[in-house]
Parts: sequence; C-alpha cells; structure tokens
Amino acid sequence: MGDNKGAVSTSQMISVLILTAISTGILTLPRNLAEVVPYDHWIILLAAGTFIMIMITVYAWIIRLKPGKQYFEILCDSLSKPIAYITALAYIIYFTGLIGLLTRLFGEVIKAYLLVRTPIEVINISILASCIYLSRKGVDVLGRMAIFLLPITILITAFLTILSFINTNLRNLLPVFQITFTEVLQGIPVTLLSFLGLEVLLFFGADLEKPKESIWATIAVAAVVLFYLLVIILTFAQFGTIQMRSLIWPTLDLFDTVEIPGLFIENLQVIVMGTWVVTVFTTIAPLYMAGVITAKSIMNFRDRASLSAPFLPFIYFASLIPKNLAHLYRITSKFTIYFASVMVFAVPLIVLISLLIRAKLGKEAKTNA
Amino acid sequence: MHKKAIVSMLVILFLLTGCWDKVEIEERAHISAVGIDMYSTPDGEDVPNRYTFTFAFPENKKDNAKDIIVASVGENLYSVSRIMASRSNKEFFLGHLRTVVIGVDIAKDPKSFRQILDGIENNEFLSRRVVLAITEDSAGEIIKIVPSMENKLGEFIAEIFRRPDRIPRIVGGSVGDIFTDLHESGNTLIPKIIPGETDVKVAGGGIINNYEFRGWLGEEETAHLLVLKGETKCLCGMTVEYKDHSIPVALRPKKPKFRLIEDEDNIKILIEVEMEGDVKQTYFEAHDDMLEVETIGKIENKMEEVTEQRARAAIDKIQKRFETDIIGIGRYLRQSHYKLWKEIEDDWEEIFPNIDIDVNMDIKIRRIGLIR
Repeated sequence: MGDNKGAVSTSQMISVLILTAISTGILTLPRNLAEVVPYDHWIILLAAGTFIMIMITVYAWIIRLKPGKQYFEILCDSLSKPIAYITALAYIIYFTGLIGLLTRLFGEVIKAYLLVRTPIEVINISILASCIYLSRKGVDVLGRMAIFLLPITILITAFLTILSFINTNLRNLLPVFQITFTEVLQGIPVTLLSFLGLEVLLFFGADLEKPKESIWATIAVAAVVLFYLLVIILTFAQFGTIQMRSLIWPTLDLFDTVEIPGLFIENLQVIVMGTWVVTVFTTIAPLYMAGVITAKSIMNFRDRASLSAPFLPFIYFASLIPKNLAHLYRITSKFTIYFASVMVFAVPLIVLISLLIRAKLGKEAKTNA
Repeated sequence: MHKKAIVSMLVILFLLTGCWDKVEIEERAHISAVGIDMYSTPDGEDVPNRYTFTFAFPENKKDNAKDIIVASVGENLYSVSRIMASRSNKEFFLGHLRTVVIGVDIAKDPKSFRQILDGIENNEFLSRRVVLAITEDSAGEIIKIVPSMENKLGEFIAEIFRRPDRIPRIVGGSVGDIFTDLHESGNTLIPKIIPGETDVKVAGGGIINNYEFRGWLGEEETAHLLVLKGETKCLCGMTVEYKDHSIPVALRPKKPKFRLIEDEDNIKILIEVEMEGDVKQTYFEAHDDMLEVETIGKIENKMEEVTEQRARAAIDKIQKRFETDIIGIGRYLRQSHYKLWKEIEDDWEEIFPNIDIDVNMDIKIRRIGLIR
C-alpha cells in the first residue's frame, strides 16, 4: 500500500495532533506544577503553550519549504546524508523509548485502577498490538480515525467537566499573580512531557493534502493548552496546592470526588478511564507510525506494513526497563529533558535554519549565474 | 473464501480473548461499613499497631436481609481484608464502601491515626466520597446496630450525611474533605457519631489538632462553625425570645465573607455572614402583628444578636480552649493575603489563639408564615 494513496486533510491533521499530545502527561501535570510553585500554574501553562506554538510554527515552516517530501529527505537535503542517517536513527530510538515509557505508564495506571490481577505484560502487548494494526495502514486512516474519535472525546470531557465543577471551590486557586519570571522558566520544563507527540507533524508532512495549511496546526496547540488549563483549574480548585503534591495521579482522583445524587452510575472514574485509554491509544499509534515511516525511509523499503510488527519487541523491552513507578518517572523526566528536547526542539530548528540558508544561497547562486 | 474468514474470526473470538480479573458478583462481599477500634487484650491493655476491624456487608440474594457482621484483628485495612479471605468464602470488596467509623482511641494516638488515614487514602478501591465519622464508644458496636428504618447501616449513615435538609449539626464528613484539611494544616473536624438502640445519631464533631484528637465540639457550636465556614445551607432550629415567647426562625446562610482588618498590633479578622430567614411560628393570639415592618425589624435585630453571640461562643471555644484553626482562617490568609501569610506561616499555631476574630451577622426575614 502506497503512503500517498489518500492525503490527510487539514482538519484531520489538527485532530491527530490534539489526540497525540494528550496522553499520560495529563495525569501528573497538576502535581508537577504544584511541586514547582504553589500558585499561578496557569501562567506557566500559557507560557509553555506559547513556546510550543513557536515550535509548531517551525515545523509548519519546514513543511511549507519542502512540500510533499518525507522528513528523512528533508533531513538529507538540509544536513547532508551521513548526518541525516544518524539523526533518523536517533529519531527511531526516540520513538521507541517514548512509546516504551508511555506503554509502561499506561500499564501501571491500568493495573492500579482497573485490572489488578492481569499481568502488565498482557496489558502492554495488547495496546501495542492494536497500535501495530493501525500503523500498518496509511496516515490517512489515522486521520480518519482521529476525526471520528475527537468529537466523542470532547463530548465526554465536557460532560465530566460540568459534573466535576459542582463541588469545586474556586477560592483554592488563590493567590494569583505572585509568580516571578524565573519561576515561570523553572515551570516550563515539567510541562514539556504533556506536549510530546506534536513532532509527528514533521513525519506526516508528506501526506498532507495542503502542506501550505500546515500552520493551522497551531490551532491544535491552542486546543491542547485550553484543555490542560481546564484540567489544571479543576484539579487545583478541588484539591488545593498543598494536597496536590501528595497525590500521584491527581487528575484521576479528581473524578473520584464527584458525587451526583441520582446519577445512574456511582463511580465516574469508569468513564474517565475509558476515555483516557482512547487518548493513550491515539498517542501511541501516531508515534508508532512516525517511527515506522522513518525506518522505511532509512532502509528505502517499499512495503511499510511489514515494518511495523518488528518494532514491537524493542518497544516492549524498552517498556520493561524501569524497575518501578518511581524509577519510571525518573527515567521519563530525564528522557524528556535531555533527549526529547533535542529531538523535538533542537533538530527541527537546525533543519529550518539550514534550509533557509540553503534557499538563500541557492537564490544568490541563481542570480549570480 | 468466506468460510475461511468466518472460521478464522471465530477462532480469534474464542482463543484470543480472556479476562484475568473476572469476578462473579456472588463471590464478592460488598462491604458497606467498616468500624476501626484500637485492639486491647482481654486484660484491657491497648496494644500498639493492632486494630480491630469490623466489617458489615449485605447478604446476597435476599432483599431485606440484615447485614452480616464480621470482625478481625490486624495491623492495617489491607492485610485484614486479605486475612478475611481465608475465613470466608467471599472476596472482600471495598469499592462500594460507604462509611468508615473510627473509635476515638485511634485519633488520640497520632501515629495510629495517620496509619489508618493513609490506609484509607491509599486504597485504590476506596472512594474519596466515603463518609468518615468518629465515635466516643466502640466503632465495632456501632457497626453492629441495625437501624429500624434501613437494614443496612453503611447506607443509613451515608444517607444521613447526604440529605441536604439535615440540621447542620454535623460536618460534611466526606473523607476527601477531611484529607484536604489534614494535608493542609493537620487540623480538621470529624463528625461524631453516637449509637442508639435502633439508630445512630450524627451530631457535633471531634477536633483533630496536628493529627491528634483534641476534644469534642458540641452540636450547637458545630452548627455555628459550619455557618462561618459556609458549609451549610440551613441553620434551622434557631429561636429568638421576643416578648416572653420564643419564635423559631429557619435561617439560610449565604457564603461568609472573611476580611482582614488593618491593625498594627494584632491580626484582626471579621467574618460577615448574610442570612435569609422565615418565621415558622409565633404565639397564639399574641398580637405581635407580623405585618408591621418594625416588628420584623425587631425580630431580625434580636436574631442577629443571638446568632452573633452563639457564633462568638463557638469561636471562643475553638480558639481559646482547643487552639485549633478549623475555621479556615489560615487558609483564608494564605489565599488572600499571601505576603502576610508567608511571615506568620511557621508560627501560625501559636498566633491563632491570640488573633481577634469578630463576626457580623446580617439577617433578613423574608417570609412570616400564614398567621398575622
């Protein structure tokens, strides 16, 4: 099956990006923010959102400069072939590691709340297997799935939000405007994990129907920031800063406090977990697909479908590296700060600068000739 | 071709599906109430780190059956519910637990109390909506009571708390709120439960200071404290003496407003509460003339006097005798006067008993009943 069989429309791209960014980061984001400062978490989030917005603009710019080209080809054009191979390999390692960590965290949460006796290996392999199934298809299938799932997710989230606003005390958000500039800078790194995944835009660039409209991806960032703001306000209004620090997954505990007399289900957490599983799947699947696309370009392989299954053992073993939840979170934060930030922010920035310089040199060469 | 596809799909359906966590509902004991007491040896000696857990769960298959009560001694909630597995044919399931009652002896020992609290908060099946109550007597005895109105005690207690029209002599009681208080300051008020013959009464509360039991707050004081905290929607049962007879007024307090009064020597807090009220009864042939605006004004003034006086008494008891900030003044200062709070945060425990707290009630009577 060819990659360019069906192109991805702009609205599909936006849906994919929104669902990709929202995943396991949402569970711990309120606590991570509470650990940095006891107030004004929303300012940190807005600042981080602005930063991510700039990065998305960089991605979109790259795609506009080289429409219809695979990211690996762009890497070759801008960084020369040997470096491009190394970078692409690093991307594959990055995707393998990130998916491994996400899968492990997914398994841990599911095991803690839902399937207490199911072995974590089974949970991990089932989610990875379903992602393999999806990544055998093209990006267009992913786009169609995202545009189908997004409204459902939004609807459920809106329903849950309205319900959980009943018991919250907005006074818990006070005091406001106490934050200093350095505290904002300290806070931005902890939010990065919650935005990882948006880089798939680079890898799906070749499949976009209208590459010029890739700048609309900023809408996805805005939507994600808005969603995170809502979650932050809800959780902080419910728990307050001090208690937040002692909750491992505050976002899941939030829905444990909701009580609606007369509602047909007693425990809202069931719905929350259901929606959350969907969002994790829609994060792992695009990342998986991006990894497969990169591997295919490196090896100059024609058939992508047969490349997706061989990834499974690597990801599976990556997911088994952390010894326990504490170790998992330590690895994840190091992975995010040292490795992911390079792959997601530094490399695309270098690529863009190199492309711009080459374009300028090319123009000059033309005018000289 | 089609046959092959169908056969392979059937094979997938039957061979690749499964469930590790399946539980038959009959095999579960859905525990509705737990009572936790300090364990004491037959000689009456308390043993540290040993607690008696009493569980109540409904009998399956029967609609109006009484609860089954079992008790066991152990170190924590988790291990006891595991130990019970070897003594019963059912799996003890805490997901539908409604009520936890603890004996006051546990709260008197901060170490035991914190162990029990974390056992509740850390349990993945236990909801934050569970009602936590404290009793002066044995918690196990309370669990054994069969209320005449409702066979299931856990349900009964939880429903007492959930009724919005209840007399506000009890605190909200949900364990989530108690955790929030305890995480922030180590102080809270836990509703007190009193056993009767065929029912239980929930009234007043136990004051916890720094994870340790400090003393009991009476019913009246609890009611007024709740008004000051804005945690109640009705202050029923208040009466005012007017011309030698008492007039009951149903009051509906609004959210209170805290204010920090600028004062160089001391921290001064003013709590303002607005309330609306209905006159429920006067005196037969009293000729008060409730249609006179002035009469109502007089009753309003008297009512304000009475409620302010009661509220001050409650504050005085909390502040001077128990020296425990359960009114939420520390929280107010942290949220609205952060700079001041940062200065006094570390010494708040010593500062709180010496600050000035004043209340100002504003009562407006809206309805006067059917008789003039």
